[in-house]
Amino acid sequence: MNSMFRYITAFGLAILLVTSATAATTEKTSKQKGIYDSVPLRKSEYDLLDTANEMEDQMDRRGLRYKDEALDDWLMQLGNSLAPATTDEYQLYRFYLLRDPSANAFAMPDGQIYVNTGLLARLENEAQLAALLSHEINHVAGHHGLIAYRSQKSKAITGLLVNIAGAAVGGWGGLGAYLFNTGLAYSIFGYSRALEEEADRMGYQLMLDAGYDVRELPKLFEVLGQDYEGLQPRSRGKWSTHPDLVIRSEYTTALVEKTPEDKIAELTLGDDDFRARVRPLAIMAVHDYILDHYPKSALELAQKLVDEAPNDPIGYVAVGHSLIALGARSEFSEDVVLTDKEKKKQARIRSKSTRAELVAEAERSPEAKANLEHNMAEAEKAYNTALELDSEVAHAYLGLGETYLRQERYQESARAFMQYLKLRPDAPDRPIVMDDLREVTRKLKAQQEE
Amino acid sequence: MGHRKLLANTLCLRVGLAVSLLAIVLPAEAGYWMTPEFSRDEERPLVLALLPPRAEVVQDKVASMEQMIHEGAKIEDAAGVVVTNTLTGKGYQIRPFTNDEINSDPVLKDLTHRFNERYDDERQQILQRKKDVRSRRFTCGEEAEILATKLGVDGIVVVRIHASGASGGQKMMAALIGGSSGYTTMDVSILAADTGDVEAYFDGLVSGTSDNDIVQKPEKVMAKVSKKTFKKFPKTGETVKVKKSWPQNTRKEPESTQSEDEMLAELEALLGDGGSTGEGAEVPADEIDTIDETGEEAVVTAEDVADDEDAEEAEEQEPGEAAETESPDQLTE
Repeated sequence: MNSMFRYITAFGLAILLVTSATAATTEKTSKQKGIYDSVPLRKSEYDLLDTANEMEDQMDRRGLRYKDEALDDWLMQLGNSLAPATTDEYQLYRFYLLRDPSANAFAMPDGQIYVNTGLLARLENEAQLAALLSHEINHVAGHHGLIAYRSQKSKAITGLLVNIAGAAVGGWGGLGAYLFNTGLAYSIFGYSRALEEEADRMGYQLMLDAGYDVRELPKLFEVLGQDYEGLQPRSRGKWSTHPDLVIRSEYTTALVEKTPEDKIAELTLGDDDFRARVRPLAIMAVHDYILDHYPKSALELAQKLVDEAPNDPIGYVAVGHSLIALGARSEFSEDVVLTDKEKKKQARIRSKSTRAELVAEAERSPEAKANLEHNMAEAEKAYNTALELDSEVAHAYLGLGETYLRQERYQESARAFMQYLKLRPDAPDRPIVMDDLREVTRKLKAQQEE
Repeated sequence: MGHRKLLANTLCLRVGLAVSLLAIVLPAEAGYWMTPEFSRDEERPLVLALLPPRAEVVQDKVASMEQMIHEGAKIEDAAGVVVTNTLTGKGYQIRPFTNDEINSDPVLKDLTHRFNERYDDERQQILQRKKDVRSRRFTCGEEAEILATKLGVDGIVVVRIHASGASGGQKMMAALIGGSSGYTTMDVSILAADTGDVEAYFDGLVSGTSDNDIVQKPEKVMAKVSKKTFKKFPKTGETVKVKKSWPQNTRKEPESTQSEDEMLAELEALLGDGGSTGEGAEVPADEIDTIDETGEEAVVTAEDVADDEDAEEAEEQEPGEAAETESPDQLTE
């Protein structure tokens, strides 16, 4: 009985390995041609596509999509201008914005492409957005989601059968199965990286065909690599789904260098008003960074908003709010280079600490007092600049109230908070401001008693 | 003999290791963690807003895990009903909110988004050390306070569900060589409106959930897991014993019981006519006061703030008007 089981297992395993090898060969031939053939769905994959469609509803139902009719239309138009004709009826390109401050974008096999607000807010120009969309479009056009799914599924079945075989053989068989499965898992990540590289390279071509300046493609990886909080190790390991950003920047730069100069001269950065178009979204992204406790990222983006429009008071308010969130921590500095080990340590601490504990930890550092003084003084300046530009900007008063409170300037704090409530009597955060006013009252009373 | 002893020891060690591993992989069937004040029914929130539950549902197949989003939505709806009924049965006043209600009001949508972001961040910490709920370690702070005020409740109920429905093949495989044969977990937090603190956290686990159960009987799946989760949830007025080894008092006493009007009047008096309150520092009016068209400073007083509040109450506002005039951004720290 036992030997029969082993025989069946071994036979099944052999068939699977052959199937996987065949699949890999077919994909390779397609890639060499640079053409994507139609990939018809297998019956067992209908559910996968249904799930992708349902995801679209879920994003909407949970209110995760950032909706702005003008911006949505523009994104859809831009995306469709880059997208090649679809090869399969289950593909339909749709481009959406997702309210999430992290620098990310992703594609679903049925053609849904999502760009996070945090990433769009950081892009310099339309050509960079075109680079990003081209990459994601290529994941759809190349059926990468489907191919990766098939590859993972066949590897999972192979691994399972090897496990059974290992258990049946006994002794060293278990260890052999473990090592084999580790190799399989490793190959899944390697395959994912290969698809990412393919999307980068083919994305370059889509950009070029649409007339966007391909020199912006390597710059996109710089934007993706910005790590103001010091939490992401620069070098990606062998267990990463994406290639290292430095490597991506290198091979796309090599592609750009091969582009004929006369062709480059014809390329464009796209819409001149790109930054103005994304400005409201970028302001929201600053607040979302603050909410998610990424104050340095918030401050960098807010300062960029001020530089872009020095006469807009909202940018200064965003700077002030970011500085308050920064509290006792120091601003981001390019001079401070953290090692991968230090970044991993910081990420570990963050993953085990509550928001309040992270703030308290920062306040215990030797530089805390000086940092706080500096940040509050800068915040005060930013809010006052906003008020010089427009004395009715309620949030500048709110920020000033908080800044003065932290500086123990209670009278000024009280007046600023009251001015905020005067301008926004129905503010949703009225109870919080009232709590602050209670605190200010107590402090003033204590001072008077002294 | 020595050989047998060694064998027995090895066996014990193996069984011990297996039990430990199981304990790590699977949470206990049900658990509850409360602040001492919640346990003793001291200022326990009674009027609770139930936010739309969120479920992550997967189909556990032999070779893959696949998301069941449509089924997840049904599980969420079923959870909303069962949690409302359970808590109502325990004497709490529940105001369930639907996604449609939230999404139709831009301000509420923004506040709920912010709250959920903050809560899910905090929940990651709760899952690592649930017992720290007793020492009031977890809070959603302003995000919870502002949302609760907007919803007009004194507490918020947040429900998260994870269900892994095993396919027939996976169940068979689990029986043959081990592995998961499906499960459903539910965790529920109660947050106080006035502090945003997580006052209580309950979780429950039901094993043996199949993909068919999820597709065909979502109400039944939710009823089962909810029964476990809420098993120890106290009725209104009921107290739960606080063990001596647990923290006894974690809530900061309110430093003032003054009403808003009283506080504003006191503040007005303290501010006086420019610096009679100790520091002697004149407020730089050009920085914080509005300047009207004639160039005269319009210094804001506490009375102005209170007057505005009264005027606002008197004024009849069209539904949705506030939503259009309010900007969702705010100071978060």
